[in-house]
Amino acid sequence: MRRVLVTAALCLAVAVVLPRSALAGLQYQFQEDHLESFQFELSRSVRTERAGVDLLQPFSTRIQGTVQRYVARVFRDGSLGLVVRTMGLDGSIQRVGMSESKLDLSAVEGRSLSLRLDRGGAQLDSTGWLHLRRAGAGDLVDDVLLGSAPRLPARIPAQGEAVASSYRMQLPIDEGLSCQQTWILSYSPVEEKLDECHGSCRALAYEGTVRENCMDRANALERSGSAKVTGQLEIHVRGARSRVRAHRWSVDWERQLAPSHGDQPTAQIIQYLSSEGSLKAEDKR
Amino acid sequence: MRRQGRARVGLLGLLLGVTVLGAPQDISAEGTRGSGKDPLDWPGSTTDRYLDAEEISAALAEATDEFAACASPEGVEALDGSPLWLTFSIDPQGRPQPQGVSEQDTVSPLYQCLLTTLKTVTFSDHDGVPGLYSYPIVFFVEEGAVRHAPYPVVLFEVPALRLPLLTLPPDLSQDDLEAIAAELLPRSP
Repeated sequence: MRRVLVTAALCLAVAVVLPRSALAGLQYQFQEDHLESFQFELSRSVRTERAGVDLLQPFSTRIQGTVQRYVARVFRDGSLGLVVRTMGLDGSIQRVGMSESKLDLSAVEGRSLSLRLDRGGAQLDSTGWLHLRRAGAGDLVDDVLLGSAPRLPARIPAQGEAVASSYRMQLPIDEGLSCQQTWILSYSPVEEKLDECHGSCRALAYEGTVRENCMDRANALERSGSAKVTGQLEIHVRGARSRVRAHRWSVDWERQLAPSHGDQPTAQIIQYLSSEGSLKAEDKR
Repeated sequence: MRRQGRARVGLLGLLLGVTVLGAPQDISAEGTRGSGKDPLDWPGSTTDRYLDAEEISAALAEATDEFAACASPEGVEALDGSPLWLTFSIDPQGRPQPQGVSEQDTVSPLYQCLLTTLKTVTFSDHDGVPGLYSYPIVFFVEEGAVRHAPYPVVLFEVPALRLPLLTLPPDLSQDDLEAIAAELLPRSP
């Protein structure tokens, strides 16, 4: 009888501690009807060249504010419809040799994207890009919006171990205007003591490359690019469920813009974009 | 002995019940709910809501009889089946801002009546870009009375995105943007 009870208790403990999703890898935990907010900072510097000569005056931007996200929908396959947006934006721009000036970002304030993500953060679909672009700030806040729900590794890597992950991201901006990115990342644990959540928080570093192909049919232009990316995720792990508490990243893009018809005489434009960003959850539970 | 065993099983059941009830609720337990449109205007924060053509044409369809009352049978016959295009924008509070009616004398009673009727239509508030909408008014005469067939389509024009694949300074003026586009795109106007 005693053995039966012990076995039953063990089974119960395993069933409670490990959700069914444990077998499917590391997954996000979201609360219903809960608006999550992250303080963010993002700085970017951009240089644009044609035939080795600056085509545009190099410039750098700095923005900060809050990025908010909430689950708007749960799809039948268990994937999540997440709405993300930026609020309380404050930003500035500095051109080489000129003083820093404040940016008016009121048109971007509150603009949202809807992302359909699987439980591991892989992007299945997204909408709202066109409205965001029409707000007039270009791709200024893209990294922040996407960085608020980063792709999680398949599992927490052990000390000295690296977990590889590759995934695709599609940005369907408009009809005939879209980008596809392929991310190849390697996650490894970081020796960092995170006392706030009683030993259940983990810091993971990642690094890797991104390849990108974009098409703009209206202007007969295409863009191809590659980037080196590094970052660090701070996640609160409960069983197989995870909550992102902080995210820092750095991306160095080299992008080539060229006519999509090879017979046009326009020279190739190369744009170098370095971006550093950080997000920190306001509610660190 | 048997009684003690039952007590343990009962205790185990109680423990299981408390654990299940006390476990934190996860969103996966909620199943499917909501629609693609609903929660974009989360209470207490800036609205992020765009008007779609379907809801604009539905609002205009409600004024069908009022539009029809603007025209006389003789006036409709003079139109010879051609639609009159109402053009308008919609401000963030959902109020229509009439721009004009195609091929019409601006002082004619029909023109004035159509614009006045358009002003009575209310749309939802939004914070999308200010675009220009076009809606066809198609009159016909049925048993001596003028009717208007609500059209299911609203045309929507917005300024095209310029060079969306190039990261440009966010404070670039429209003139600067057009100058860059003209240099980069030989075929651009």
